Amino acid sequence: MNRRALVFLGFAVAFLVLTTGCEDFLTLDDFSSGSGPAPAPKSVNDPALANDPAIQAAKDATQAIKDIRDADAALAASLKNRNLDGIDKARELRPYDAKFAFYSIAMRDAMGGSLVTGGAERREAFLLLRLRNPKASERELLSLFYLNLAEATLATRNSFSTGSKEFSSATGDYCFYRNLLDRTSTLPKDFCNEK
Amino acid sequence: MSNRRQPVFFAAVVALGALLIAACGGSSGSPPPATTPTAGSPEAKPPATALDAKALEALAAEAVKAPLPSVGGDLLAISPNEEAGKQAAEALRAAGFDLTGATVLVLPIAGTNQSLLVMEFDATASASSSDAPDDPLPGLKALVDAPAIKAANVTRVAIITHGTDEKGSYVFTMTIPMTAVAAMTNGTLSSTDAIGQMTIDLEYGAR
Repeated sequence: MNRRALVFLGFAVAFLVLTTGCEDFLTLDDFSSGSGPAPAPKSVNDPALANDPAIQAAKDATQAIKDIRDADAALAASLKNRNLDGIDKARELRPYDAKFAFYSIAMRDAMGGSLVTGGAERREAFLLLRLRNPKASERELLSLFYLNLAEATLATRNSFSTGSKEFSSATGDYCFYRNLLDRTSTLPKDFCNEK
Repeated sequence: MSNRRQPVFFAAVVALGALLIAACGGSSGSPPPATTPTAGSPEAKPPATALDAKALEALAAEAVKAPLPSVGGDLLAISPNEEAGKQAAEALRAAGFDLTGATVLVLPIAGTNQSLLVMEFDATASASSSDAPDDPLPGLKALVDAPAIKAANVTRVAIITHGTDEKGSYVFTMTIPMTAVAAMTNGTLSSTDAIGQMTIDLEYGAR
C-alpha cells in the first residue's frame, strides 16, 4: 500500500484505520479512543455531509473507476476485433460518457455506414458533450464535436489500417485542424500531442 | 483505411475546414477555402458521405438550448477530464511520487461545476508502489496549481486503496478538501489539523 504517500497527504490516519477492529463501516468511535488531541476525521456517512456532492461522488468512485476501466477495455477489444460489440458494451457501462458515443459513430462509419446517417446518434453526442461542458457555446460544442469525432475516426481507421499512408495523411490533416481549433475555442484540449 | 472509405474522412475534413475558415474569416496559412455553394447549384448538396456542416450547426444550436440530460443520480457518469488527470499525475510524479500501478483520474461531478480528483491504489498488486518523496509539499503545490486542475474546479481529493487483511478484501476511501491540501502546501494548515477535514470509509467484501 502506498502508505507513506497517504501519510504525506495528511492521511496518516490510514494506519490507525487499518489496524482498528472495524466491521462494515468505520464510525467516529474508531478514532476517538487513544487518538490524542488530533481532530478526528468524519465518517463518509456523517449526515452533515449528505449534501456535499464531492463526498457523495467519492462514495461512487470505486464503481465508476471500475466501469471506466472495463469500458476502455471493451473499446480496445472493439478496435482490435473491428466490430461494435465492445463499443456497445462500453456504452452500456458508461451511457453518459461522450467518448463512447463518438467511437460508436466512427466504427459504424468504418464498417460501411455513412457519416450522414445516424442523426440520432449525433444528436445524442452533442447532448453528452454539453453534459460534460454545460457552459459551452454553440461554436465550442461544434469544435468539440469535430475534435472528438476526428479522434475516434483516426483511432478506428488506424485499427483498420495501421500505419498506412492514408492514416498518416489523415493524422496530419487532423492535427492541422486541431491547431486551428486551438485558436477558436477556450475549452481544454488534449488530443493531438500524442498522435 | 480502405480506398473506398478514404474519401469519407477527407470529405469530413473538408467540411470541417470550410466551417472553421468561414467562422475565422479565412486566416492566412489555411488551405484553399472551399467555395460556398449557392442554393440550387450542383454543389449545394453535400456528397453522400460527407458530414453535413449545416445539420451539425443545427444540432449544436439545439443542444445548447436543450435541457441537460439527467444522469439519474450517477454523479460520476460524465467523461473523465483527461487533461486534468494527466496534469495531476505529472505533478505527483514530478514531485517524486511513484504512481506505479495507481490510477489517477479527475472526474467531473454531474449537476455541479465541481470535479473530484481520485487516486486509486491496489495494495495487493505486485506492481503497486509505496515510494513517496521525503518532502511532498512541492508536489502537492504543483498539483494544486496545475492549470487544468484549477479549470476543472477540483474541490476534493479521494484516495482509494484496495487491499486484503485477515478479515478479507477491503476498500478504504479517504477524502480531503482541495482547500485543505492547498492550505497545507502554503503552510497555513498542519497535516494534523487537516485530518479533521478528512472523511473516511472502510468497506470489507467489495473489490
